[in-house]
Amino acid sequence: MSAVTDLDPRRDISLIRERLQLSLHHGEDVGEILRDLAARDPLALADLVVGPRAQPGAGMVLAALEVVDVLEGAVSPNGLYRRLVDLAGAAAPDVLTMAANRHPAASWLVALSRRIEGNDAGRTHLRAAAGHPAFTAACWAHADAGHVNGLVAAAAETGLPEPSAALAAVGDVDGAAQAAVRTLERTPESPVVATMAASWGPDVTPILRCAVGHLRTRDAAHALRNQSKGYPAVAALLDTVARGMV
Amino acid sequence: MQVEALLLGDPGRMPFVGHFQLAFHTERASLAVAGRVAAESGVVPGFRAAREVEDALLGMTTDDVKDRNDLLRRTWTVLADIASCDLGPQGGADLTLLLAARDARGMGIAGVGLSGVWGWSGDVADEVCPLVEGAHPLLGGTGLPKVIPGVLTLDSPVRRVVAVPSHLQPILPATDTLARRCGVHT
Repeated sequence: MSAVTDLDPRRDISLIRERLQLSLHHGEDVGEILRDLAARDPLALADLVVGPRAQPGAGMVLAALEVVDVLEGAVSPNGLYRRLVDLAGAAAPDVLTMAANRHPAASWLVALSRRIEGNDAGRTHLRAAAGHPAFTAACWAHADAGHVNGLVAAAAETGLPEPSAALAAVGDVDGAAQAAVRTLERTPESPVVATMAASWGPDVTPILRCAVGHLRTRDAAHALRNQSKGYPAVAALLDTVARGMV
Repeated sequence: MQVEALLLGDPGRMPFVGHFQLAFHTERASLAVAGRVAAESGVVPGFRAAREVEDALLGMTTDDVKDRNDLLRRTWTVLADIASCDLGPQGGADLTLLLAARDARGMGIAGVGLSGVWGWSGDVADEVCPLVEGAHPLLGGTGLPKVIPGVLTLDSPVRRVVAVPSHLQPILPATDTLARRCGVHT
């Protein structure tokens, strides 16, 4: 039984709002109240949690994320998560993680990522989208938005070739090179060179030359060398570089 | 005597699967090549087949090339000598190729799997000019020909030759994006 079980969600909404505020003021978990409302009246729940008079703060938003499936039935996901971020304070990254996990194909995640992650935008979204059919589209969307750091981080975490290919597609030679090397550090056999050639054009020499400067390990140098056989000048350079690496 | 060959990429995120491009110069003639092979087979098979074509052409003996027509003949011969298994699952039947050869007396263009061919100065401000129209022999299906195909001869050479593969409509994008849409970055 929650603290509002005896109240009617519509008629007594002001009273429920006061009880929620009081509970949050005392640092109490309001999860039970929100679950009770979710079961009885999703629209009243949405009004209390993301409506114009919603109580801001991490405590309320974290509790709201526990009933987010019910909230999504009452408010469109795009508007819901943007409003939750408005209210979340320190819990904004939790909101983004939830949104990315539940909607990895959503295009609005690009702007939401920018707002929450700043220069690292795309990291959480791409981590959630890895393995999802929308991963490629997400990489391209973040590349179009200039989210280089997020794409490089995704390359390092997933070992997938799409982040570097997406950066190549928008003409970011250095970003593509860095992402390619991070991908190979994680997964040496990941077809980064072939995928970049498919998105950039057949002569990826400028990207490969740039990648040399981002190499940190001999294994990655060997992996890049193995994939660069079709580019003899770069392959020769990588042979020399790999020999000089510890 | 330089010449450049460009082949339009597909629409979408991976426009250049299986694309290859190269150019080289001998004492008497220059050759530019652009093409596409095993493109429907996926990124990696397309990449391998494309690099195989480039590797074969870059290994061609050119010391004793007589003129542009000789260079074109040798190019077809080298391509015919590539093992079909190295050209992807279709064994080269899906090959699209644009060859542009130039010497002191003019320019020759040959190819397979093309729906349109244009000449272009390479300057964004300049228009592209169609080099062939209608049912010209230069336009047709993909795949290595059984006999060496004819050559379109240009008395006034162009700096760049641009082609559209036969699976696409013969329409070029605007010149400000044309080179990039052909996978060429300056």
